[in-house]
Amino acid sequence: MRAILKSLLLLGLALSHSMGIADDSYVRLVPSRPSMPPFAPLKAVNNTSLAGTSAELFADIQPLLVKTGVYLEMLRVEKLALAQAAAAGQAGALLKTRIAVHQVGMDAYHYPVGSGVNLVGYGPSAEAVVYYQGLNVLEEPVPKGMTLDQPSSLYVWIPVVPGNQGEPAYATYDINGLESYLRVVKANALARKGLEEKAKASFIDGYGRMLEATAKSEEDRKVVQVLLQSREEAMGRLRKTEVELNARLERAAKAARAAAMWNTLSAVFSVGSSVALASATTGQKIQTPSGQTPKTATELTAALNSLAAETQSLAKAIQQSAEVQRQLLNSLQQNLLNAGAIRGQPIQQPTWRVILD
Amino acid sequence: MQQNSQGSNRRELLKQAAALAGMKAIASSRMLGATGALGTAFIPQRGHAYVAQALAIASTICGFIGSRKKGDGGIGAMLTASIEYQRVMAQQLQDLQLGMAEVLLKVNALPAEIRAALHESRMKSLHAEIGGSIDQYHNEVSAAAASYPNYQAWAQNPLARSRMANISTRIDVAISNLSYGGWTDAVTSLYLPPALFASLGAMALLGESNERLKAEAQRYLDLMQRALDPAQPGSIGAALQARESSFKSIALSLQQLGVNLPPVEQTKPMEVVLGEQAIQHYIPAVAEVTKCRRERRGGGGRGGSEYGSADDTICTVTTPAAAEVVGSLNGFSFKLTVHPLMVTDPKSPGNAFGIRQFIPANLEVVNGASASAPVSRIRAPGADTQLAAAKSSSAWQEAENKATRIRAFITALNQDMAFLALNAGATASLQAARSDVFAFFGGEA
Repeated sequence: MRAILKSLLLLGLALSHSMGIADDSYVRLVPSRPSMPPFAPLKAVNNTSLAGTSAELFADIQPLLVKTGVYLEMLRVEKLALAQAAAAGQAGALLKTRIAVHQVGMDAYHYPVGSGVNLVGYGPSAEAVVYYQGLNVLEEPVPKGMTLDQPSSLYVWIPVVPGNQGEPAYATYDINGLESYLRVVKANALARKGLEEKAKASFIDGYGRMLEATAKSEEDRKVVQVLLQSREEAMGRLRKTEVELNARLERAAKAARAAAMWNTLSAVFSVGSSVALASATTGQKIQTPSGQTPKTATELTAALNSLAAETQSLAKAIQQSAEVQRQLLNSLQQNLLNAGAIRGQPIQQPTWRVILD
Repeated sequence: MQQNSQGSNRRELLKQAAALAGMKAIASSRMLGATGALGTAFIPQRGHAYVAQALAIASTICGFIGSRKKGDGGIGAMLTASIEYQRVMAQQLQDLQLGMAEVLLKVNALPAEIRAALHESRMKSLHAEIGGSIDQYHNEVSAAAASYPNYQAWAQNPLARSRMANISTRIDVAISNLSYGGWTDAVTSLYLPPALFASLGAMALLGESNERLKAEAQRYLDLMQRALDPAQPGSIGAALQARESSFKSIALSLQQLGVNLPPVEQTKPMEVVLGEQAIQHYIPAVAEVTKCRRERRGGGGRGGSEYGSADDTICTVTTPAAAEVVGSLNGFSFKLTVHPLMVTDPKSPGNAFGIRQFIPANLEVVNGASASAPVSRIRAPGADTQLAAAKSSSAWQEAENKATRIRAFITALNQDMAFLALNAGATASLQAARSDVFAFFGGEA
């Protein structure tokens, strides 16, 4: 098994490739939130409600779930979903209830669409599960002449580990709201990257912890621990490299801006003043190729242009290094999944394979 | 060569230029010893007072960069929990605030409409709020803190905490106004760095978490970024872009009028010949009629030659036609001298930021012209009459017109250079402050 892991590691390293310089980015002290704020649940049902009967609990979520009998199916699906989520080491499972309404005069008749409830999937959060599993799933159509009843058609998130007292155990989300929100996230490159990275990392974390906790032998546990440790280190290195990369990109952008600006400004200030101001603007020492302070406006412009080119080239080198580290991280994560599969604990369907492609 | 003024005029010009700018003009010995003659007096031009103050403000702002790095680590020293650290930072903030007070004084000296253009009212309000908070912060850190045995005791004292909370709130309100108003101009934005560091100092004492401090700093960094963004109307970035484009266009217009801006390190005056005229003393070969009379036909006459008939006018030519007189040919050139000079703020000799300006002299006539100069042949026997003839020629009038246009362009160019300097100084100050913020949190950007 170690030989397989080693070869996978080497494969990961060999997969590195160069990338072009990203757009000029504004380095922030506090990382920006490329993904939009999380989509808030409509309703959270506290653990305290669990003290009652199942019917009471689901009536609390939505009375129609009890009235139409859908809650019984929910209980069955929930049991299965939680077992799968726990087996994959994930935080919870997501169900989707769909109840159609038929209006006859003043009376409304409600019918479950199909069984009235589907297991969407399991994972680290409701957002992540809908994003990867729920957006493009083919579903049984709503019967002709009926519409989907909004209040009772919901996403219901069930955590594997119930919260402490007062902490929400069940959370419900409006179907259209959550799906529209995630479609917007998907359309935005930064937001998409933010959500995908977070979801993938949380998913692997959970799966790795589960493999570690359920290891049948000490050797098995050690293999997983080494992989988890390596992954942790690789993530740390990558974060550090990305910080350095951002700083370099910022420096390169500053130097390029300064070089462009100083074409004119070097005709306004004395050469000494220009050098001092350009140095403050770029945050770097301005020197000629021979290491001297520029003595003429032409020397200053040349030094700034050269600085801009140099910082950009350094940024490119770091970007390549970051890409190598990203590939290594991916290969380590793949190794973790393979280790689980070899041990007979592969990820169950509905799968999360899609996020690991 | 015609010398219409002497060395004293040159000195006078420099004196006037320096006085005009309220600053010191650095003129090289080459400039003082320039061979070109100057006009009789420097003619003040409209817009100069505006330029002078902009220059003075720009120089003060640029000076912030020079005074930024100090032996004690400066304002960007990494955050530590000690009274000494707070004292150093409070002192740095006081220095910055004094600099801003100087800027405000200079803005106060401007005419009303220009004060409005520099957003004097918003400056005053920010100055009062932020300056007041920094003073309070400085007093607390320098005096009150001394009565506590250590940092912890001071930081936990309810009175000290209440004062710091008040400082933090005052600054927060001032910056919220700045942010809400979208004030991103060069002068107003300079209040961001002192406000930020005073706020961070107060928040650190109140025991706010590093993450909370970072979030606060990020808010200011976002405002700085907005001020530097050329796409933001009224921002430093937009002003730089607009002035740069205007500067280039004026430089091109001057080039078309024969004035090529020299490299900044060159201090030699520029001499531009705007026209030429050659004058030649000349008397044409025509007979001079001195006397005429009416006489009846057949009448006799005496002396000279007479002709005509009765009732004819009889004229007597007393002098026969003399040979034409062709005197000396002298050429004159109409020259405009433009003096480049560097002005600095004498109040901060350690931060001698030199900002270039140009001073055009009066149009002058100098002896000598090219072979292609137009020649005017008139009765002008002496040097004085020839010079006068040259100065009343149409070539001179044309040169005067060109000189007027050049002076107008130079006035506009000086304004652009002053405001480019002001905005470049503000850009460098904000960029430096940005680096300080990252250094404060132990990072680098």
